[in-house]
Amino acid sequence: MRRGRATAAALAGSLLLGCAYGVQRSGDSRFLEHKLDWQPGVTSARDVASDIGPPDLIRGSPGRLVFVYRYEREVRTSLVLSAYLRLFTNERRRHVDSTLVAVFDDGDRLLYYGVEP
Amino acid sequence: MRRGWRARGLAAGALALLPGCGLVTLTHDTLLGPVSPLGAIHDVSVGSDFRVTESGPAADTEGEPLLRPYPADLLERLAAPHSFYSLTQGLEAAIAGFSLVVQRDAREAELPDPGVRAGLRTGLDAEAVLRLLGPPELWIRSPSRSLMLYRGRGRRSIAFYLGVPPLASIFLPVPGLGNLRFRYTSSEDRVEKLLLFFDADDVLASVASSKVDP
Repeated sequence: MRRGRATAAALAGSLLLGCAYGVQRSGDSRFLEHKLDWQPGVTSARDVASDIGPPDLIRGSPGRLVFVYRYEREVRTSLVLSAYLRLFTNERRRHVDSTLVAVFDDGDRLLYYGVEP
Repeated sequence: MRRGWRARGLAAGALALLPGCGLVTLTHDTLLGPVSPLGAIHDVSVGSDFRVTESGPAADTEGEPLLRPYPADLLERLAAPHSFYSLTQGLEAAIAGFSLVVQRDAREAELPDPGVRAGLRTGLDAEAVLRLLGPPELWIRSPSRSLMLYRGRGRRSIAFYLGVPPLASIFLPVPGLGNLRFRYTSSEDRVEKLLLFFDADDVLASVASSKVDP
């Protein structure tokens, strides 16, 4: 009986858990935290840059100026049950790519913008 | 008597080798560093996501135990079908390594110093700004205005590991104790940006920065 318990305890001990949690962030998240109350035709490119900082990408073409902001997050979690060999593995990865695009006319007035949180 | 000492020596040698290539390559990289003809080999010897690029073998050690005795994907490296393709790529990279043409590694860019940035004020012309900050990463010009964008990149990472060290678990009489571990990694790629707005006469009209200068 005692031997059986010891064996069971040893087996349970050998199935202890291995966990990992990893986070990776890239970019400036201010455009997600800031309340955007910009008005097309009123808000200027300077106002936008003043509100949420300079963009990550700028595209210029005749009559148009495009600001692109990006923020990426990736979370990885894993749970591993092992007894000298990996018996069970559960890995999850969640990647969120947030983008804001603001388009201005040649007078730097906002035409329209869109955000994907 | 001599046999006893020999046995102890062998045991000590075996203990020293238990951490395997991780300890050896980490010591190599730390002591010899860039003067070694092999270059940095620790990442490749213990890292995960092994691949062969045109510059040679590469792997990632972020979140990996630095003293791993062998890489986690050892079998995959040696026996997977793509390992032969990797071998060919590695040979090609080695042969290319003998070339006299050297390409400098890319460096992490930095924004101009805060002291220099403090000299920015509206009313400066583009020539003065260029003299002060150097060339921008992006300069968009149009008849009505122009924009200059400066960017600096940096990475900050934190790793936390809680568990019994691999060697110590051998000596603790609890089965599976070495498997009890928790690892936390967090990394952040920061891009510091500075955007300058100029009017039609190339006079600095406004400055926007992602970094708050003291």
